[in-house]
Amino acid sequence: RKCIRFTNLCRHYSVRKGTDELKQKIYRTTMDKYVYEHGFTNNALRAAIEEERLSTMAIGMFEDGINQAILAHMEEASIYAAKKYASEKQSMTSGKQVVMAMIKYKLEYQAGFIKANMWKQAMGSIMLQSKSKAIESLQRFADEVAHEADAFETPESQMVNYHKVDWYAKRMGVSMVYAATELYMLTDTSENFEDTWAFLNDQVDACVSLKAFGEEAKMVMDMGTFMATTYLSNKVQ
Amino acid sequence: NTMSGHIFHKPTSRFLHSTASPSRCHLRQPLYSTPIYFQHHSFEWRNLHPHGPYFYSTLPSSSAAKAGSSGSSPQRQSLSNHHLTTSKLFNHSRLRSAIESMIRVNQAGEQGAVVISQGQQYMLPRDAAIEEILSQERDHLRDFTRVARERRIRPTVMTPVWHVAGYGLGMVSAALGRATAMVVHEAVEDVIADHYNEQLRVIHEMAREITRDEMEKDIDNGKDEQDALRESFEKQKVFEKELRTLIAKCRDEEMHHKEIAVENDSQRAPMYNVLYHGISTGCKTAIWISKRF
Repeated sequence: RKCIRFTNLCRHYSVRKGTDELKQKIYRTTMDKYVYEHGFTNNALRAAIEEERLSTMAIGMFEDGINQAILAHMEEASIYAAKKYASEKQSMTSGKQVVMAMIKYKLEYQAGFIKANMWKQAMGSIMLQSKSKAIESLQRFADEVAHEADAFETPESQMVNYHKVDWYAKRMGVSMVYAATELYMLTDTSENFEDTWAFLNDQVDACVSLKAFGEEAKMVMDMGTFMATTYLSNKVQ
Repeated sequence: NTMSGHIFHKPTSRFLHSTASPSRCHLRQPLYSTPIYFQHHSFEWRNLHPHGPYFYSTLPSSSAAKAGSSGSSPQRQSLSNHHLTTSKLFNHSRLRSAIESMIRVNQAGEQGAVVISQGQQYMLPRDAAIEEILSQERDHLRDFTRVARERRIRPTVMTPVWHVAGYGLGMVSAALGRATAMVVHEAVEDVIADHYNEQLRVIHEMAREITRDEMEKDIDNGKDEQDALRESFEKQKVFEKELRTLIAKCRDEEMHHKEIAVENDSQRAPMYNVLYHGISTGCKTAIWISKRF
C-alpha cells in the first residue's frame, strides 16, 4: 500500500511543476466561467478542459473532479487573505483584530458565490466526498492565522506558552470561528454582509472570554491543590 | 590426530564487518539496513521542492510580504512563487520532513529535562549542581522553542503528560536522596547524547542524498564532474548548519551534565543499576512517543 502511494506522491518536482500549473489554469477557468452554466459538476470541468484544447480523457488528471477545483478555490481564498493581511500588517494592534481581518478576507473572496446562492452546493459536494482535504486546508489556514496572531503576545508568553496545549486550542478556536461564520454567511441577506462581520466579532469575543475563563479556572485549581497539599502535610505532621 | 584431515577455512566474520584485509575494508551490510528515508517513521523526508524551505543554512524571511510581485504568471495566486517560506499555506507539501519530528522531540525532551530539574530543585533547594543543570537546560529549551516557532512545527500532544510526569519524577528522585537525583540525570543525559548523535547522523545522510541527487542532475545537464562534486561538498557543509551546531552544542552540554552527575556521587546511589536501566527505558519510550504524537 505504501509503495503505491509513494509513487503517486513522489514524482519529481520538475515533472509535477508542469502538471500543477496546467491544473491551476483549468481550475481558474472552471470557477470563473463554467460553474455558472453547469453548476458544481464534472461537466464544468470537462468544459474547461475542452477550452484548454485537451482531450476529455484529461479529466483523469483530477481524481476528485470538481471537488479539487473547489478546494483549489478555497486555498486561493486563504492565500488571498494571507497576502492582503501582509500588506495591512502595520495597522494591526491586537491578536483579535488579526483573526477578524484574516477570516473576513477569506470569506470575502468567496462572497461572490455566496451571493449567487451557489456556495452551499459547492460545500455540500465537498462534504460528501473530500471532507478530509477540506479539513486539512482549513487547518493550514488556522495555523497561518494563529501564527500571525501570536506576534501580538508578550515575548515571555510567546516562549512559555508555545509548549502548552494553547497551540492546539488556538488553532481549533480559529477553525470553529471560521466554520460558524461561513455557515452564518450562507443565510445572510444584509447589505455588504454587515451582519456576518458583527457575528464574527461576537464569536471572536466569545473565544477570548473562553480563554480568560480557562485561565481563571486554572488559577482556581492551583489554589485548590495548594490548599489540599498544605492540609494533608499538616495532617501528616 | 583428529585434526590432520581438516581443511583450513579463512576466518568468517559472523558480524557485520568484513574480515580484516585491505581488499575487504568495508561493511558486509550497509551501515543502515534500509535507506534512511524508509527507516525513519515518516519516510517521506524528501521535500519535493528542490529548494525546500529550511534545508540550507539561511532561513527564509517572512512570506507574503516578499511575494507581491508575481505579475509574470498569467494566473492569479500562483503557488510556485512562495516555496521559500515556512508557512504551511504557501509551501504546502503533503510530505513533511523528518527534521520537523526531530525538532519536535528535541523540544519536548528539553522541556522534560527542565521540568525534572525543577522538581528536584523543589525538594533539594540550594543545590549548586542542580541549579547549574537547570540554567543550561532552560537555554536549550529557549533555543529549540525559537527554532520550532520559526519553522512552524507543532509541539507534541503529550506536553501536559510529560510536564506532570517529569515534575513527579524529579520530586520523587530528590526525596530519595541526592545520589538518586544524580542517577536520574546520568541516565537521561546518556540517552539524550546517543539520541542527538543519531540525529546528526540522519541529517548528514539526508544531506548526502539530496546533494547527490542535485549533483547527478547537474552532471546530466552537462556540468563538469569535478565541479559538481566540489559543489555538492560545499552544499553538504551548509546543509542545516544552524540546526547541526545547535544539536552539537546541546549534546556537549548534556555530556557535561552527565559528568556533573558522576562527580556528585551518582554511582554510589542505592539500586544504581535498576534505576539507571529503568530511567533509560522510560526516556527512550518517551522519545518514541514524542516523535510520533
